[in-house]
Amino acid sequence: MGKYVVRRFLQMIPVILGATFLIFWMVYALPGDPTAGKCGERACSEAYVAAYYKEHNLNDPLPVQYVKYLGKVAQGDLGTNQYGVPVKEDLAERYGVTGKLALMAVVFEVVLGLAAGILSGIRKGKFIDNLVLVSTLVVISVPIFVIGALAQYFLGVKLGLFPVTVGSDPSLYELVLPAMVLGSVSVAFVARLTRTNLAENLRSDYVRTAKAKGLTRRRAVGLHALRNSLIPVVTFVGFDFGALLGGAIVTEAIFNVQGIGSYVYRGINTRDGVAVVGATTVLVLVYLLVNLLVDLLYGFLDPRISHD
Amino acid sequence: MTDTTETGTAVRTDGPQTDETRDLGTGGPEKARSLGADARRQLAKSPLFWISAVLITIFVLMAIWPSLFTNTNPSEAILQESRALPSSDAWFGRDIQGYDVYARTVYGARASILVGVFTTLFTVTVGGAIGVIAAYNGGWLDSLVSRIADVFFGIPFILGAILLMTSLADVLNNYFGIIFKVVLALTIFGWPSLARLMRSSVFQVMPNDYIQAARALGASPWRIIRSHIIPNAMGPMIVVATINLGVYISVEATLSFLGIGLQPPVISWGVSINDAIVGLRTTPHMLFFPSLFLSLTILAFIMLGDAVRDAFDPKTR
Repeated sequence: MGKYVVRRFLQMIPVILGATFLIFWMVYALPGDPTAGKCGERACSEAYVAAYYKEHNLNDPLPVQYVKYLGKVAQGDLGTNQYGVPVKEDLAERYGVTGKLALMAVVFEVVLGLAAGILSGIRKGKFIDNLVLVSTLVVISVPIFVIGALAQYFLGVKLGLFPVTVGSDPSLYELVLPAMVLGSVSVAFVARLTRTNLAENLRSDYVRTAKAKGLTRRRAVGLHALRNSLIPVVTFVGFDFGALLGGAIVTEAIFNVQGIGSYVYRGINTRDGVAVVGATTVLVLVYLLVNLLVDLLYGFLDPRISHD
Repeated sequence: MTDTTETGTAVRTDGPQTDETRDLGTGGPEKARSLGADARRQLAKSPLFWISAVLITIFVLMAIWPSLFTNTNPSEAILQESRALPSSDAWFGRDIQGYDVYARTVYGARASILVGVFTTLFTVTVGGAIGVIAAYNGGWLDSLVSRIADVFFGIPFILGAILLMTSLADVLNNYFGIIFKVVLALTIFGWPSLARLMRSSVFQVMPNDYIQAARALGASPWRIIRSHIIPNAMGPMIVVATINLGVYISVEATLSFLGIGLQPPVISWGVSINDAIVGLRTTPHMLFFPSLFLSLTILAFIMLGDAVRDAFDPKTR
């Protein structure tokens, strides 16, 4: 186990370097003058431009810029954004918000998705199964910005069940509606994955054996079939957590959540390269760590998979 | 992440072999059918397949000849009738600019269909080829390719597409140029998932006896890949690619919605939805029709994917 974790961490290094370089390259390949618009309506003075280029190493070729940036990151310095605020402080605050949002979305998708998946899996072909299949199809097909706008209007404005927008330091209650919207598509995927795998496993030999030796249906389904059906679901949820963190851009824009998605989006639009690279690098790191965690979880779900 | 797929294959030792034996079993007495022929027969019986096929035909026709569906000029703005409700004159009503919503919706199909079809084509070609080569050669090449795939996989899909679209913001700004940029962005961040899928299904096919037999008979690697490995490992990829087509259409609309993909003079569902969202409370018809068409297109491709999967996987019957 320990050896496996160490090997995985070593494997992560080239991936992190590659991904951050790719992001770095895309951000700094952004066309246009990086100092444009920084001095109001007039052009920036030459002294300012020179100082700006020097501070961000913009005179060096791209790989050199990247190595210098990495050197600073290694010392824990993610640079300052264009407002002079250290990116690290911004990120700490914003990741708190988006992390909360993504976690709530994951809880929502796991609870509702598993419940719907199990119900339709054990009643395959019955009414409830068809209901789940059709409703998940509908949720998957309607784009998230439409779901978000509709939910905001009907549940927030018309019925007044939830706050319509979210403040800068949101409470859990404020984030419920955005989290449901963010997790809505994943609920459908989790439900369908659980259903397919559970239905397949219910017909397998070991479930028949379990029933034949006199276990109750509840125990045969819950302990044997369900546990084996969970591996693809856990894989999906792990992958999805990273995707939710980065994919929250649309949801955060609709509900005015001051999270990482809106931060990156604003950074891209205002050409604030330092902010974008810092935020996305952390995103990639979180994604890789969550995936490692998922792979370790396999061992608990299926004893046949060992990491020794 | 490579280990996920490896453990995945290790657990599913009952992969293609059982499928084939079961297939022979069902088609037994009369005539032994191939997996492909059996899947085609199954598809022809599936209502899901026919519904999605009809929908897709309509939307593809709409993308090729929009004038088949409407005579109204989609760029003719009658400001006097801005936000008019649906009437016999304009079936779906008019939007803020006084455009005919029906005509806009019909003409908007082209962008979505082009992006969906071409992104799928490219991701399947690139991802499939890379997956086959990595799995067939194994060794250092496989590790290298897997790490490179991890790099692209580690960057969230929409975020990566947004970054690439902004860094290419100043080039190729005509209609097809922007479509090409969206396709490029989605292909660059979409190929790894298909490469992984193909890699793991090639790993399942490789140990089979017919591969060993072909190799013993002196077939070249290219011949083994072309006539034995690819036909037998394609199934899962076809299914996922069809479902992904719907996902790509949705992402294209999201990019246009965020103002990064197609821009206003161009007609697309994402742009229409973005324009219409301000009228959600007062004139929801402006939002409803483009969203409906967009959702129906995505739905059609996902249903097609479901139908194809059911046809190829005898275990779900």
